[in-house]
Amino acid sequence: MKRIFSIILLSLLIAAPAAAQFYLGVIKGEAKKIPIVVLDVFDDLSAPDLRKLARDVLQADLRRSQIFDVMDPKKLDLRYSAAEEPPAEVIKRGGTFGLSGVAWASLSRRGGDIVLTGRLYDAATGLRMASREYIGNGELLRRMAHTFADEIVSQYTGERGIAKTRIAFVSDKTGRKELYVMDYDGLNPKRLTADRSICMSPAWSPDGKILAYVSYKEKNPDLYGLDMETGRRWKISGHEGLNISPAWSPNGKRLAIALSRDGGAEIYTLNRDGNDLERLTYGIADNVSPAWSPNGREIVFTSGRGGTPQLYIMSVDGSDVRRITFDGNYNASPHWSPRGDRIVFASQVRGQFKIATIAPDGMDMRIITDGPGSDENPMWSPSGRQILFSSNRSGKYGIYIMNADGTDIERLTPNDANYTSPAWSP
Amino acid sequence: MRRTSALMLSAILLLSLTTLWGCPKKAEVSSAPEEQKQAEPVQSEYEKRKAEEERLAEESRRAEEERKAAEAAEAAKRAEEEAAKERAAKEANSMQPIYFDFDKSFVRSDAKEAMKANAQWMKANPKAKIRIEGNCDERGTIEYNQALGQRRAAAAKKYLTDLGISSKRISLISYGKEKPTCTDATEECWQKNRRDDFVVNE
Repeated sequence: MKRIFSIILLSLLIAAPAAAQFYLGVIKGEAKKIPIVVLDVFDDLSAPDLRKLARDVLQADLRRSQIFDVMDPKKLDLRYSAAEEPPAEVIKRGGTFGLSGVAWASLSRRGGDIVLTGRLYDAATGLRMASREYIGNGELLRRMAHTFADEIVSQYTGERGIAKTRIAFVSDKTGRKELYVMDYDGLNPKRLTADRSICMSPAWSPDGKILAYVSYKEKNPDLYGLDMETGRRWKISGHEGLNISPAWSPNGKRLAIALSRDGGAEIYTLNRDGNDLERLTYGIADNVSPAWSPNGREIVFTSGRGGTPQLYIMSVDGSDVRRITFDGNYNASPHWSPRGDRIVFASQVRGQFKIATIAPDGMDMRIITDGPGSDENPMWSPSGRQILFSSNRSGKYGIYIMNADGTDIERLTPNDANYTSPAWSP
Repeated sequence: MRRTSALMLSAILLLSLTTLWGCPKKAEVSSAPEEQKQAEPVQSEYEKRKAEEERLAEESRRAEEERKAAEAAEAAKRAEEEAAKERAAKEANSMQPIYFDFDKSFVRSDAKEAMKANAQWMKANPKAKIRIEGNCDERGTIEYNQALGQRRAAAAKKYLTDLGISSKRISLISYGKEKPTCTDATEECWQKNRRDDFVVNE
């Protein structure tokens, strides 16, 4: 975490008035993507590896953001590689080819550190939309490129990008299921636990500082908290029986979890220190996997009360329970989209889970994955444009991301072990 | 190094030998004149009484020892028997697993014999405490399966307590789909994974 902050944002120069324009129309699924190119990165370090890395990361981030159509500058005859920023004629030539934006970056050395200078131009006018400088040691170059990519996203949409986010997950790489975290593009995996037991169900607090998770290390599935800055761990909930499937409230003050202290699994909310327990569900069947609506007023969860596992929504006080899924025999693991308009979940089709979405009023259910294997534990990206899930479609369980409509599936983890229960950081 | 330690060892041996050799002699020599001197006038009376006392003391001591030895032997035998019983129980896996239907947690009729045998075992081993471990097949979500496994373990506990076993002797844990005994995607394999294990706590 500290490393991230060691990237110093040196200058913040918004040059052209064009920067004030936000292209909000792109939020709708049908909207056209914004055509953009990333020119060759220039460097005075003669380090072609770093140059390629910076450009690859930028292009991949812009493509994954789903806001841009990232074009190949060579095909547009927009070759440019120099220490000075590209002249207006070059940019405008891109504009005549239909581009909206042109990104350019250069690398230089300052002391032992590397400086990434990033510029964004409006292709129609040739004017500069944004200019940023990031400085840090060589290992941070990837992070600097992510930060510039997020800046470009923010210039066009006014939204915070996802290129600096991370993904917590569970892997049995060591032979036991431990907790890990990696960058959102699958790089820099780090192990977080050494419980030598079973860890599961990581959940980020809304400020990204605490990871709640379940561990069997004391021979009972208990809920723990892990401070991602200090590494401190503590037991949040250790009732006899289940303490499982945690979900943070949007304001970060409460956690919803399932406890079996009264027999079957029931949904409760509690404080992050485990106090102030409030029971929300009462039934003869199991109730698990709560997820909060983005306004914090409702909770969607899985319940077997109707004979098969289905999705239900209730108010945060447990009242006004209604069933929202009726198609299929097994609908579970819900997660509410950041805009509140859809709920993603795992739905069994011919014995195997596929990823599905539905409106909170129970209308318009769509199965968005197909093919072999089981797709489980889906979750929205912080922007709501992507869905993260785990799947054994190519052998062992791996972690995948895809567009919210199910297109562009990309695998993030290798095939050497099982990778499950992904949780996207804010 | 080796030689010095060998020397020291023989020195110690010699020393202890002489002490052992010397002791009884000394006692014989010193005790005889003392007795003669002190007990001269009432020798016969005193001697008789003392001998009698000594004999009685010796007898009771021997009886006590015999009793203790017998007790110890009996205890050892009992412990051995108990240990053998425990070993036998463990070898017989003490209790039998039971199996469930997909997404269900009721004790099936084909599991009733096993549950009766399990209750018998618990009655025959009144000190034993057990842990019921609920498990599920892979065809469910991680979290829902954890709840289902808990329910399966609880169903078996209810069955045992209904047969008169104290609930204090039974703890529960659900592993959901985390501990499959078999990983093929077949009904035969899934059935093996939809089970309760009965584990005797150490």
